[in-house]
Amino acid sequence: MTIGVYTFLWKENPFYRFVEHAFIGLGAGYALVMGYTNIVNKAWTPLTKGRIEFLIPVVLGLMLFGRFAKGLAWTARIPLAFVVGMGSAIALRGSVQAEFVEQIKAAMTPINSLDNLLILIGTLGVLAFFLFTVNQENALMRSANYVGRVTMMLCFGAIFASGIMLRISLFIGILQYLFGTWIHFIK
Amino acid sequence: MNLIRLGNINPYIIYVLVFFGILIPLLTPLGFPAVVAPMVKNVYAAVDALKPGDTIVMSFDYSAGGSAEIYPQTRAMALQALKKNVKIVCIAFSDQGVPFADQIVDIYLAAGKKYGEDIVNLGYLTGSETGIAAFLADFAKAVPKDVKGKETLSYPLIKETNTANKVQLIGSFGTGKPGPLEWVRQLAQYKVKYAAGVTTSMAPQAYPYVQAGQCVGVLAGMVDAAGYEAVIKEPGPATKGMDAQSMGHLVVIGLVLLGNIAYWAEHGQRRKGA
Repeated sequence: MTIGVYTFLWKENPFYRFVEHAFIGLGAGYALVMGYTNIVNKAWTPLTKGRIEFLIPVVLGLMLFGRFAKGLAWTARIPLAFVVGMGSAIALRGSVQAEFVEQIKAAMTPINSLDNLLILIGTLGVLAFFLFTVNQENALMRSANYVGRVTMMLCFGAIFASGIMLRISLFIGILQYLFGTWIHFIK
Repeated sequence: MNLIRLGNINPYIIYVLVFFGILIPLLTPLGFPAVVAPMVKNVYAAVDALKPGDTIVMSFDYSAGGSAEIYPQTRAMALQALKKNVKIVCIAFSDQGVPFADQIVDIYLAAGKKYGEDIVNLGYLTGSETGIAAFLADFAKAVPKDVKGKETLSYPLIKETNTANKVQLIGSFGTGKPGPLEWVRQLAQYKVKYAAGVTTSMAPQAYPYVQAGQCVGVLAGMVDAAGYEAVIKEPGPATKGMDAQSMGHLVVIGLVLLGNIAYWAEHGQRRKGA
């Protein structure tokens, strides 16, 4: 199957398409089994032990399927609202502290090293770049904008290079499998 | 030689260059030294500071696609924990993470450790960040049965350590969501130390959490896994792949340079024409 996927580099072919479909099928089957196990362990088992409060998430879950019936499509909105509301609330609970307060505190570092100086200049530059309600025509804002743009370009470059590194690592993993585990060329 | 033609290099030539650039060092290792980054030292120090009998949580939030980079990180952390006689609670917030957690369980069992006392695999918990929040509050409530289908509370390890407040370190290893952001958000109300293992492409977004003190260290991809293997003196799959990684980078750098030479040659010709 691995070789089948790589044949796509040459051109689209039936072998590749077969492997692609098999992969999707496998993934869907695996997810189905995991989902089924989850329902059995986390809903059915407690229900059979008399914990009737588990009926609430089970009914809400079943209501999600309402969208497949013409007259019952509206029922799916209720569990969806629960999912969105709960997900947002749980994320929000920690985000103010973790993403806002702590990050601002971390940015307020003493300028006692070149690293800290660069962090300060970069942070101020990027923040200035996104100040849309201030006149950007004067020399100070133009310079700050430029610093912000350069900082972001450096960050994008680091992310892009990391992306290349990731792809190479994944390819190494595949070659180690093909030439090591499979045909034992790599000792 | 027409330098402009370098910009239209046949993609098959690039495939062949990258293929052999990576394969040759795998077949005949060049012996480049492994670099131990400060982040790796931080993670190593966090595990090293644990006492025998302490417990860590390892979360396997990655799929098969990212295993080449992430699995060596988890293996290195587990081997260090094993040497320190530290117990491990395995959990997965990616459905494909379960078999990778099993590999870590196998390492422990092969060393004579007992399932349920020294290590346990709680399997996959759905819900991403919501699942993390529920898990941190109460392991057994969030996951009533482990991967073997047995009651989680029947294991001594879970009886002793049933919440995030009772473990000494949490390591999450992921390729996407949930990642360090979700973990840091949910760990804001706990005092437990946290370390992250991510792919190299995710690392730049995870580093600010280290600077802010929310995370003891970030292991980035195969490079840091190799560094971790070097520092615990247990060479493994990442160490074997590092020569190939370096050669792969040299090939890409070479191609980027060629592309730029072609660009500037074309630029110069256009200016001459104008």
